[in-house]
Amino acid sequence: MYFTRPLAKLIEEFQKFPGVGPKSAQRMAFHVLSLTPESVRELAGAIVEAKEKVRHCSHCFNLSAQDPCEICVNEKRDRHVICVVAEPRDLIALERTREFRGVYHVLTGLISPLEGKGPDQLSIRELVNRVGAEQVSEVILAINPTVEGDATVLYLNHLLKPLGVKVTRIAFGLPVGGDLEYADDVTLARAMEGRREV
Amino acid sequence: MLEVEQRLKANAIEIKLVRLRNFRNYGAAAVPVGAGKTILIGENAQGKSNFLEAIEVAGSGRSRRAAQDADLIAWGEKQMSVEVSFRRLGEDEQVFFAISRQPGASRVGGRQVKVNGVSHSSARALIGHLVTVGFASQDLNLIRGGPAYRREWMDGIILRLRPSFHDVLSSYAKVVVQRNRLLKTLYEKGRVAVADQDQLLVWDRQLARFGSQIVKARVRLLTELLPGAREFQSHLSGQKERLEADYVFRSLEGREESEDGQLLVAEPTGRDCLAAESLSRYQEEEIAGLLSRMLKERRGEEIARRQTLVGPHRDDVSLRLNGVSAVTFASQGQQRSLVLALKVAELRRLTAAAGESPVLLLDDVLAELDCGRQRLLMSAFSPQAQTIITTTHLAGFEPEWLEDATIYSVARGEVEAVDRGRV
Repeated sequence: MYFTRPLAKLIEEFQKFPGVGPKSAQRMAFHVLSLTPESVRELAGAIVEAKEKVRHCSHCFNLSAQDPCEICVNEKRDRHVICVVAEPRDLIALERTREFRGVYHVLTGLISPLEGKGPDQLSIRELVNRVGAEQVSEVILAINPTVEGDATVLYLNHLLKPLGVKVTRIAFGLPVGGDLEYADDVTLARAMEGRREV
Repeated sequence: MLEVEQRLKANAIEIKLVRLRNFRNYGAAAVPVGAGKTILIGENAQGKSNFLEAIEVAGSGRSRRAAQDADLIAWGEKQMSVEVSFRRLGEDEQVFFAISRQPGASRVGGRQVKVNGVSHSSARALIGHLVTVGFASQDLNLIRGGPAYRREWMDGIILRLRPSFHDVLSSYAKVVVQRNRLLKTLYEKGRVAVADQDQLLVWDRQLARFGSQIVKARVRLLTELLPGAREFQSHLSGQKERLEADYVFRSLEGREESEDGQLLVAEPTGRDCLAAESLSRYQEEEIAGLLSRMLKERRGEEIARRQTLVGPHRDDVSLRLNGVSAVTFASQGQQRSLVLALKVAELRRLTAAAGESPVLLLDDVLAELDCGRQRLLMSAFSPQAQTIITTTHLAGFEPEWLEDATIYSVARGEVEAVDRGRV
């Protein structure tokens, strides 16, 4: 494949993105070349601005251009309930539901010795401090049901329970509109475990 | 008459057609397989065992013989595939498994899994469709080999009975890997702080949770297999030998006193092992409790060795004949009989679960058996079970095996029908 040097470099950079293979990277690079100079400058500016302005909120570790973040300063949110998530994208997913009116705490990962992530690498101490200092009545753990997620839940529970706060974990079960017949065995077993009276 | 025949036929999984492409020494081959017995005859190293292996791979997505998946792809080829069409519970089914070689790597890249034409992302989807039971000379490792052979044997049967067991096994394996890494980190740090203790405890809980599920499943399987194996073994030995199986917690090995053994069971058979039948009375939570206690006890050693020493990934099964270990004390003949007894028990268990007989794959084992054992083996199968047999020669076969058998010759990866008149 023969690309002139600047084009090859652009393709290489795009290819470093998650989920982007050589073909998509090429398509993206050619798209960039087809844009007007202003649009390209806007794109480059957006990348630089996002990187420079977006930081972790010092309170809840969500990504935001302001500190404390929009959710932490929002007077309408219920500060007695903290929902703990692993990543900012989990927070976004929960926010989309518009069901939760409490505040969040982003762990910035899950306990995973393989990735060199222990409690010290996550924002766990800050969470414990928050629960100790603020009047928190419930901590909801919205954490994936994986081996690493389960380990993190056990660890958090171990630290939070002694503080006298109610610790809950979101339920696992069937997708809405899903079909019992096609659910995988583990999901079905977990759904059965988490059943409740109607 | 015809109706009865059809009903009998419905009681066995029946392979109709096996299609291979670049599987080991095969090029492209389509081999129709008839009901009843099929005999593949050929010299050594012509591809007889490979043919049986291909069927197992299509049924499970993995091979018991290959060190790595790439070995399954013919030399110099990029991709291999196996497709088996068969009848199960009166329905036509088809499984397809393909893997491709990644350029320059021994690891394989793309896998393709299809069950009845529907693609799946994991080979796990194959499990439970084309159920087979293999008898091969390397099965003697069940008695003579290391603990890994026996663990794999048990887990393999459980998987065919209950495909969801796959999730327990893979979660457990992940926990062990994560825990080992944590132990290594703690070893390198040189000291264990309180926070580290807490973190270790979390992985201990996970290990006990998934580990107890595995122990429980294995013990249950042993108690289900024992009556059948015992009956067959007793038959083979002229009612002289009684078979017993103990589940061995290898983390208890070499201990001076067995506090936990006493805590746990009424009748421990040894310091580190418990008769499967008495252990089967224990609940998963009780086993999890035992694992947790053992973990606590071995903590220092685990950190020093940077390895998880407690748990079903190291456990074993001890088989005893009239009270003495079959590995150490049984004669060659006794060991052969015992393998046969275990395999027959496996076959019966799978037949009972599936409601019909799995396909039997006998890899070069018949000729090694004397007439009495051959007959007994035959009597242990349901008469309508589909059986595929490989051999280098037909001499030494009991006449029953040859009755209505379809015979193929296998030479250099080519399978050809043999005219019965020439045999």
